[in-house]
Amino acid sequence: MTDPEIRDHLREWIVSHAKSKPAAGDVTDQTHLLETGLLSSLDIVEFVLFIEELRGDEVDTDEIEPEVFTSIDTLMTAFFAEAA
Amino acid sequence: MSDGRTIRDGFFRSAERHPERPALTIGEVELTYAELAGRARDLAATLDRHAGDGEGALTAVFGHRHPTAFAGILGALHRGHGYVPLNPSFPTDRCRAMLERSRCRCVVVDPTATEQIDALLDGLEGARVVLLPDADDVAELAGRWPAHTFLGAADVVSGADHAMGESDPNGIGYLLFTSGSTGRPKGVMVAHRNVVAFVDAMVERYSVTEQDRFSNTFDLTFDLSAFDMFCAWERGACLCVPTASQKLFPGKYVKKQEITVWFSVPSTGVLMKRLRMLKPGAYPSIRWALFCGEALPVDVIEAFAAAAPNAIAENLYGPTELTIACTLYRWDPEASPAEAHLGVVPIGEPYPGMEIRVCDEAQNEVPRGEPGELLMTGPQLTLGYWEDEEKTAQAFVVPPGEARTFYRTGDRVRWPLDGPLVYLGRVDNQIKIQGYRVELGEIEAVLRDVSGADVAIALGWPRTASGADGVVGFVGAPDADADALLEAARERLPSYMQPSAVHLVERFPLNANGKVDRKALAATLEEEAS
Repeated sequence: MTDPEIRDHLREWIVSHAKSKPAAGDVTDQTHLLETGLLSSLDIVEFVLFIEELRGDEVDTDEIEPEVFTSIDTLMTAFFAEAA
Repeated sequence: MSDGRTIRDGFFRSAERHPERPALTIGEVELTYAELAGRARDLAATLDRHAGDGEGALTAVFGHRHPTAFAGILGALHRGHGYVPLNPSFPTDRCRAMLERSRCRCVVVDPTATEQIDALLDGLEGARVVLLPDADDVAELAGRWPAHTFLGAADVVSGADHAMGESDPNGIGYLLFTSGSTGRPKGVMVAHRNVVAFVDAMVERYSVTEQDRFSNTFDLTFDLSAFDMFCAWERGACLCVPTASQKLFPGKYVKKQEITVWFSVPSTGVLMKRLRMLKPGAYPSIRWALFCGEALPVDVIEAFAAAAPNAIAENLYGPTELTIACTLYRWDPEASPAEAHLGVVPIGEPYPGMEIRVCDEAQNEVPRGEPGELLMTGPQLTLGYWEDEEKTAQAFVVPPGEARTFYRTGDRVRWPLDGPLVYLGRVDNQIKIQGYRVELGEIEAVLRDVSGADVAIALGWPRTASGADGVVGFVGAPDADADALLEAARERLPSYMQPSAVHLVERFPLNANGKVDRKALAATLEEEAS
């Protein structure tokens, strides 16, 4: 999967799960996911599992810094470095 | 005995004993006891200067995971008031209703709530004093709301010489509005002496010292947060408050802050388990692993206990009306699994001084070991519901043959002669299906068992005048085979208890306190049906 494809998958997931029901265009690669309340604690388990599915590898949840979930950009750097 | 003490005494005594020790850490900010006490005194002095005559004895705090929210609570207590927490993550209408009904004249607002001030004040009657100690400029707000007084950072005066207001042990320490239910929220009046009795029992049991570091996973509108604050501060320990995003990764936070006293709802344990954060030995710093607020599944406490090998794990139980928690059960990896009922950890024994009655519908005691509603009384019995005599009279009753008032918990329990108190579910969760009395918790246990999911909910559906015609299940296993689950459940349940359908759920709706929201689930069934 290419970098833009992964970003689109992440965006699609976020848009379909966010309580505020944003349009895809509202969620940019820099939009803050946690601070703005787009994703809640309810979402985070499924989101981590989705990321693992996308990258085909486990995420080390013991070592995750919450900052990694700031935006699509930070997610790409943390979890999909080889695709970028 | 409370011997005249009120909730604030523990904190301010610790501030004299351990002025340089950390009292509070939030995000990157750490405040010592001297600093937090200083802020609290400043806020108290500032409010006392502006409050005017005829004020009641309650101060509201509109805030969330910010030092000012905690200083606001201590400031309210310093004035001799009780505090009324307002939660910026709740709908503003709800916060306004709480402010209106509690008639607090003064409100302390932290920066996380500042944006909501206009909405909070919209339509509110009476003049308020709104203190925003972190705001540089309040002129705009003052211009928009001429009826109210706004105080910003520049208006905060030094409270170094400010005298503490008188505080009555029988007065309200905090007023908490119950959430998650429909209709008008009830304000539970918790007296200072209730909290003092609770804190005394807890710090003794957990031998809390100034070296301890307490987690604070609960919002201030959830009374379990009072355990975190007042048990930590009673003995000079540090309260560690994760930010909203840190709270999503509790494992990382425990390690970073070297938490020694962990306290959360079981749902947080479920989340950690699903995210594989409960690896054996992961959290050696934890001395006490405490859970409260909803039924605690055996496999969650087992996983947590293994992850915190130096901890003793306990299950606490208690409604707000009996002050935070009033029974507890110590988990023993050897003996406890056999004492669990339907995969749920027992709720154990009453706290020191608290008394139990297990009663039938007419509040007559049932024979020991029979199921019934749990009634309790003792030093943690609260003052009832704020300005609601009718609801108070319904829930705070003198059972036949008793001289004292007991609180009806609405929870069904069984208390075997030779074992701990076992939680069976809400009285409301016992329904009649086709005339049979059915405990929904029993169906839920079977669904959890056959699916391997941590959470399963059963609802009576479709509803009838006398109960329900059948049962529908919700199972937190999105990838399971619903038909196979139904099949397996049917083999273990009599026909009238068998679910007619099982919905596979990716995530359960939670109420404001993080518990599974049954009413929201029922609403989805109603939507489907209409």
